[in-house]
Amino acid sequence: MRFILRRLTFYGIALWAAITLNFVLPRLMPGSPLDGLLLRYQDVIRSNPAILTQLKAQLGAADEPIWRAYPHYLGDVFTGNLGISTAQGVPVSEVIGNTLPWSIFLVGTGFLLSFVVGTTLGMFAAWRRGGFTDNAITPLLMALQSFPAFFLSLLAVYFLGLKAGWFPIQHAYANDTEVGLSRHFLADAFRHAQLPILVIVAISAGGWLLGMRNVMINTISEDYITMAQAKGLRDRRVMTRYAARNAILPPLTGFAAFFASAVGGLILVEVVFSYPGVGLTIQQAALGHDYPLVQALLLLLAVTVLVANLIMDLVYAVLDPRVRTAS
Amino acid sequence: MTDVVAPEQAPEAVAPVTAVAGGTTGPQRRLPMPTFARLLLRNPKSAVGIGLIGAIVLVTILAPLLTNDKPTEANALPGLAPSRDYPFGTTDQGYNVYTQVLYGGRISLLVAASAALIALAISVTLGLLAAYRGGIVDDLINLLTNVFLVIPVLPLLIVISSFLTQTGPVTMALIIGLTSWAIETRILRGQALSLRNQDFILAAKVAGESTRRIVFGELMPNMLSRIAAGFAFVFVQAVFYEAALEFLGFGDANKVSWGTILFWATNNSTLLQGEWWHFVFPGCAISLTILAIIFINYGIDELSNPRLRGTKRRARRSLLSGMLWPRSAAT
Repeated sequence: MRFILRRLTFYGIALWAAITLNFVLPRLMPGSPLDGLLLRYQDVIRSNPAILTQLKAQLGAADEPIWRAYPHYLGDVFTGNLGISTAQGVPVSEVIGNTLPWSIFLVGTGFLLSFVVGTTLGMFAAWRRGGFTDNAITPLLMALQSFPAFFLSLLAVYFLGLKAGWFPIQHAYANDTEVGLSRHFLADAFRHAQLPILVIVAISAGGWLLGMRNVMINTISEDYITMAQAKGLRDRRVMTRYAARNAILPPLTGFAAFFASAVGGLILVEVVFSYPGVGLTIQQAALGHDYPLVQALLLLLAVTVLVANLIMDLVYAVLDPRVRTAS
Repeated sequence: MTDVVAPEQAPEAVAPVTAVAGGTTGPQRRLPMPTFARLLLRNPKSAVGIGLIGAIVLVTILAPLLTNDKPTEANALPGLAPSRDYPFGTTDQGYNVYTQVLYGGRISLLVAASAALIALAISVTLGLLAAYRGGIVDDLINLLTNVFLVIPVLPLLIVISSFLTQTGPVTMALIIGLTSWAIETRILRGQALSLRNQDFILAAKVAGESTRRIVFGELMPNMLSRIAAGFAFVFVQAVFYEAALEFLGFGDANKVSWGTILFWATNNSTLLQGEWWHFVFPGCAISLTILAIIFINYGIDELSNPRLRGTKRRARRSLLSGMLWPRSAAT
């Protein structure tokens, strides 16, 4: 319980830091980003004067002094009032509602697959050091890790999508498919997600593989493994129930760093595939200086990482009794 | 089991700290660095990595000797496939891709190296200070580090770039350096913790040395090998972030670097026209650079964690497994 409380306090502070960073960033920047915006979006602003006030407040150009602007900003964030997208003219929350499900689908599936594939392969690689998995698959996945996500995506789009014609190369569904819960739509969406998910797995499975392998190599030399083998237990049972089960916890702690970098990878993959998720949206919004949307999305991504980490902490507490009982 | 040694927490096996006593700094102190470098060169994996990165750096420096064209002059026919005259083909605008990749490496590597130096300076200062001072200083630095660890770096960089009016190589090195120090700070803090109660630190403390002097004059010289390894680790991230930012369109598109070549390659939809050479060669340059550092890092891990070392026979049989590397930056 204390472990969870301590983590919750930390996530509270981290959340506050992320929100504050969002507030401070535009105020730290040299020059006024506002002038450029007024020129670029004058039509939107003329049709909706409220946007001007909102922009001024967000970018620190309002007449409000900073000690009043800051609580104001915090209040807005916690009541979900994220403002209106200057480029699209619709509430930011609406844009998020349209894009977030796609990203969750993509990164969620990709993450689960890469975790399962990576740790399983890592288990085999450690169990049979110098065997096929260790000598062929481990180096292959490691080599893939040196490919930046955007380059691997480009290669996949060009060679597997365009040349071989096995996969659709962009968007989340075909132009003529109607969005809805029909079977046709789901099949189409699944077909379009295959290649991006493949790229995500190819890039991130190596990390899990290596984490698992390196911890398990140490676990294997423990006495209880020798003991289990001496008892005459089947090899597979010793590998899964004794070695792997005890080796899986340390790699899970790397999840925090993994998820934060996975978010970066998601942006790159989405941009290359023109996949209509949060990553593509934040790139487009940042290029178009759509600050309300950009800031909201950064906050959203930070919160997602925090929540994912919190979930992982809870899972960890369930899996490792020492965490629960430690004072 | 808590006694399982994760690779990054592995005890420093290569940097003996026995040779240091007293508070003198300067050339007469025996630094662990040369031993470390020699060990790295003897390890086949890190030797391959060092050779590879050396070759890449050399080629970019010697670019004017290796190509007659200029990266910013379009003198060739547009859209030519790789041939003897144009080994990497030409772009839609008639730029020589070979020339652009050679010259582009200069900016890419320089920006990444500068960013890595900035990040490393922050990591060393914060990590060592936290470990040495302990208490509230340690708590605060630790909290700051943990917060930065959970804020995703690439989106943060994107947001900062969108606020900046112009993002040239200098600003890019600066913002990458200022955002990617967290992981290394945590690692260095852990390493420094094991040194903080050594006799020579306590002696310096009793002698009344200032905190700054102890951190930079006593702790730091004894961690040089670990800090050098940290540079490789931060550098590989910087290479990735720089290329990613430029690819996404947040760099100075008029400066030729590996990232901007990729940006133009996708922006002009050369992909759909089948001009694979426009993105494959700069992409390979980035990947090779990252791969070289991965090799070096693996050598470092093998040196500091003997259990990861295979038998001699096995090591020779699969040089390829030299790509093993515990910390993934390139996702």
